[in-house]
Amino acid sequence: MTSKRLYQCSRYGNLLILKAAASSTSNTVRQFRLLVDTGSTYTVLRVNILEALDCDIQNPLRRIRTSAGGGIVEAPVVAVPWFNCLGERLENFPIVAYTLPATTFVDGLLGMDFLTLIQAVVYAKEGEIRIHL
Amino acid sequence: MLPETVQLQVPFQVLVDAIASLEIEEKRLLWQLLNTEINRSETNYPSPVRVQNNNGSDYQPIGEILTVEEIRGRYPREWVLIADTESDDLWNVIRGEVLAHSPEREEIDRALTKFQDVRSISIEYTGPIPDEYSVVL
Repeated sequence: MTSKRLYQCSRYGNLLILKAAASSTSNTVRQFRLLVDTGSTYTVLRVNILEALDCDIQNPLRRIRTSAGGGIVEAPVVAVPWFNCLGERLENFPIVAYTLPATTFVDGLLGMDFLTLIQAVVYAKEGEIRIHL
Repeated sequence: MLPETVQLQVPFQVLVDAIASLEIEEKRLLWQLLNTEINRSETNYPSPVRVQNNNGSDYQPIGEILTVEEIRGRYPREWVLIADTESDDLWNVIRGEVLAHSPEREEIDRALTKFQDVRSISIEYTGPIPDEYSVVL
């Protein structure tokens, strides 16, 4: 038997934004806004927030080369002890450390890596996300 | 019998000169301390009360606890760091203490590094975000 949970995103024009949180190894929590981005392979977070979470950006799990709006970007991937969004908490979740321009009003992107893991269904018109459990 | 405390009188100009000689990081720290003291004086805030936030952690406010609506009203179109004392299940802040605020995101990025010991901090933009706002990534 499966159950469903429905969440309402904040909508700005055609954009859907959600709050999320991540922890450091010392169990401090930082909360931030992410743009729901089904066009992004990875979940992305502003570098300084990951640094505030004690992530070692200089010694990442790996580095990725990926296409971004400005061309090919190389960025480190680091893991946070836990990442929580849409009521789902994932342990040792890898996040791409990359700073979007401040004018995007968000701290990063909620990518397909997270959305796929939690089996999210995005209802763009309604600005809702449904999770099948 | 010796007194337990000594009151040291420092002329104001000497204090100003000493502040002028501080490093920029020390000046910022001093600014935050003064800001906290001013807030406390202006609001005649009672002695700190421990509040439990939704992460189950204790947070001891040193300033004024505001609702998110009050924060938006007081600091419109700014980035704010909020030590949240209450949030909902989706991490939306309900109320908390403003640790830093600025229209410049870089200022908030710098401030974030100074509050490593605060258990839970939310980074917010008080908006409003323009309806015509768009992003192509």
